[in-house]
Amino acid sequence: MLRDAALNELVERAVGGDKAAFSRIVRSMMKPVVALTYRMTQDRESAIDLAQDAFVAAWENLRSFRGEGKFESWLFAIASKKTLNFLKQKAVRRSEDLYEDEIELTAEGNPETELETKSLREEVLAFVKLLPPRQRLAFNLRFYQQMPFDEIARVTGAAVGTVKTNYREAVRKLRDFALRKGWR
Amino acid sequence: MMTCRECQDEILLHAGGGILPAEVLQHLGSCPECLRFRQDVASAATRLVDAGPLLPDDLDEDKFVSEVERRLEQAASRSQTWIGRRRYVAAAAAVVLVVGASLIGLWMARSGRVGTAAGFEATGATTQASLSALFEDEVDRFDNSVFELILSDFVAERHFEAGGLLLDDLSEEELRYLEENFDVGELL
Repeated sequence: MLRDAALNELVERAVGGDKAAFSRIVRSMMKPVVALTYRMTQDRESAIDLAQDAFVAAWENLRSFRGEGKFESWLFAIASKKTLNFLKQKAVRRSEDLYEDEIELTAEGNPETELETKSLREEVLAFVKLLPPRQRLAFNLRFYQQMPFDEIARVTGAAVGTVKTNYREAVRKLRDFALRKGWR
Repeated sequence: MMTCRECQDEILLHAGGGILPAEVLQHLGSCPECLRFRQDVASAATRLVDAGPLLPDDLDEDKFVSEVERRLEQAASRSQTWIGRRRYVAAAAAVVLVVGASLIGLWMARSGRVGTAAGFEATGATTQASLSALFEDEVDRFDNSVFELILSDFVAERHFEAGGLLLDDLSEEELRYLEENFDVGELL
């Protein structure tokens, strides 16, 4: 990812209509955004599609980004909202299991480590899918993106106390899950 | 003194990182149960970190960026089309409004709902005849919708009550023309 100053400069240029600058932002921020949408949806195609949609929405609403918070947070907020809506719609029309989709994960290196890592990742995804969407979002933004609670509250529109409760419950479930799985 | 529940809540909140408050550390120093709780949370969190960022397999950066660019182009052309359409819609609405207003005016004039006796009496036959003769030429000459309206009202033998309010829209030349050729007081 770009350093803050470089990112801010690109954002300023993008706000002025510079599409090339925005493409650089996309290239720089795509991985964390896709990681977020992927952990939330656990579906490769949906995750990529939602992340791309989030970038398009960001471009269309760049003028509303007033630089009061961090650009990343603003972008994660857009991606989070899109993902939550997606999950909500999916839940409404779901008769099949959303998480039946095949999970494909990157695993490089020697076969043993590869297998172990792949298995661990599958377990982690299995844990994440146990969480209700709001807990999942709070957990993702805090644990993986290291976002402060007040910022999560701002981007998700929830109270700080609610965000903390969601996060705490998610970690409590993580501990229970780890104990059941014998993670040590 | 902190309770075990409060201590464990703090441990959960700090699972993603950050320094535990001093009172939590103090409690941990004397509570094996909370200490074990903390170790469980920490090892679970470590496993999550070991699993990595969990990106989908074969995420193609170039493809991703060009797809975003394609969608941006698509969105821009959609918005252009809409702006273009809005122009046509505005023009069409204006035409409908003008035609509609004219038809209503015509209907009202024919049905005698406006410009009846008082207006009729106010118009002089001579003035009307000269105006009728001049009407077409003068409308072309001045190219002013207000001027045209005043003349056409007069030709249609309607009393044009709003004429006085619209005098501001007439040029000096048009006013002079009316004064020279007609009795403006009678006309309006």
